[in-house]
Amino acid sequence: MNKLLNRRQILRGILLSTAIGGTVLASRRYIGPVRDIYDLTDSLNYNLHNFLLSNQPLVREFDKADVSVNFPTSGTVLPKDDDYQRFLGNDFADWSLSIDGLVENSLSLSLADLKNMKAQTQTTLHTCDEGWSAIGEWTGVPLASLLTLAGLKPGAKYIVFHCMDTFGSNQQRYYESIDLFSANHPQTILAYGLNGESLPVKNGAPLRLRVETQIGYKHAKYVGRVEVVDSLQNIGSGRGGWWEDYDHAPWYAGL
Amino acid sequence: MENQTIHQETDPGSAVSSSYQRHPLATRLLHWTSAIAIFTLLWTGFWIFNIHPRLYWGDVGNFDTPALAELTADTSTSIPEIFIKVGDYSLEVTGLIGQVRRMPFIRVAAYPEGFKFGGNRALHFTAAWAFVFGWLLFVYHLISSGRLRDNWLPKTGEMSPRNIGRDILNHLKLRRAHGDAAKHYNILQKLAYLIVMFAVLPLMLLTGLTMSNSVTTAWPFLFDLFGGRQSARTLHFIFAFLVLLFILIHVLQLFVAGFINHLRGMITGVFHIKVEKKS
Repeated sequence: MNKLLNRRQILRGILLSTAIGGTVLASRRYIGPVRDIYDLTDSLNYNLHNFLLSNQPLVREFDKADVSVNFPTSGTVLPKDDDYQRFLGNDFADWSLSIDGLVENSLSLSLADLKNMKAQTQTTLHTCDEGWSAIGEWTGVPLASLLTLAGLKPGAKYIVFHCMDTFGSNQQRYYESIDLFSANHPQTILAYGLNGESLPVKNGAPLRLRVETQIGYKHAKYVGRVEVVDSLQNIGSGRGGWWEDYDHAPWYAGL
Repeated sequence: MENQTIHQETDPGSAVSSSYQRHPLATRLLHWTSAIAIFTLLWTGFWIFNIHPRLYWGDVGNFDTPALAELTADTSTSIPEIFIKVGDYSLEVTGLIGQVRRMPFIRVAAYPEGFKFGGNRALHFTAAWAFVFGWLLFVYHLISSGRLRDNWLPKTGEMSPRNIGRDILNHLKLRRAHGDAAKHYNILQKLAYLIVMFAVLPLMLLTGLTMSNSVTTAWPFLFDLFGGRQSARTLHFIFAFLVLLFILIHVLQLFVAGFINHLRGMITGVFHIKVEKKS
């Protein structure tokens, strides 16, 4: 009568640990091996959110009248890098975006090339992991259409954004990455316009990523090169982004 | 089984002391795992609040928009003065809390050397997962064991104003329950447990999820439910404060009701009761 657990409780325990264990195992369908508790959480978030978003719903759009006129910034606001300064001095006339890696055709697209492509405009809520938020009307090219143009090779899994700004205490160029699922979301665009004008330098001119299903630090600014890869192991220290590598930030940032 | 006396002896004095198994193993395990998860959430949550100590309503909130409440500084003086501002009221807290770093960024506390904000956020989500699993198991346990019905839900007559009034008085006088009364949760205790378990904690989770871009993409109604992304953030911190308040009172009550006895009750399950000897 004073047994700690009776048979029914043991049975329940087995059922519940199976459920939890199953969830953990299901989480292994993820960017790589789960190395620590951060990766475990990251993979749980990633799998739950991919399940919630499986039919790629659109993020809510806001009223254009509500845009934040002076759109706030985080991270670099003016890259001091020589090449960037040169591009800026020429108003990005001789700048070009390169798309390479696991693609059939490597591309080099000027700002004019990008502006000649079918544009998409969306008014969305931007949120920073620090807690602030702002509404912006972004204009750009859907990432999916650029990837279609380049043609993905078999094995392509992640899109890496190499940026032109040297960032942080370790003075490395900023970089970020997302998976193909987020890259193919209809509102994931490479934006060159904000609130009806050219993208300001402080917000990432000439081109920045908008991945609306994820938060601020994923939205790489000053993008110069888009690389398609099959693994993130050889990008930076292998966690997929500057904050991920040096600040333990979650790679999957839908939250 | 719970009320079964497992040990009874006659005190040489005037009271009969008896002990019984107060909390089953599942309750004790879930209590402590939830405690660890919630403590971690509050701790990491504080550091998240600290980086932007301004609260807003609606969808948009940043340094260009007015805050409902904020920690702010007046830099017109040689030594900046720090204020907590809520609406039109402001309270000077220079030297008490608030630390001037990079203007206009004012933080409640300085981050420790080597603090990783991203890792802190990740830990917040880790603890959130542990909390969600723990909460689900706890609710399942409360229902399946009958403890929700037997111990948590008010019994007939308990909700009468007279009973509630008497209980409020008992609490104000910090009066300890004796004998049979000590075996049962009192009405204020029951209501506190029910409100925290079934209202505050679920609201913490929902307001937290409303801050997630992908969750609101799947469930945009969350924005409408809480009045926007920033409203959800503000409510998240208010509910967190309520949880903290609950924990403080919960622990203070231990001192009133018998610290060692109750702590042992939640660790080993054994709880002692003194029963007045009938003469």
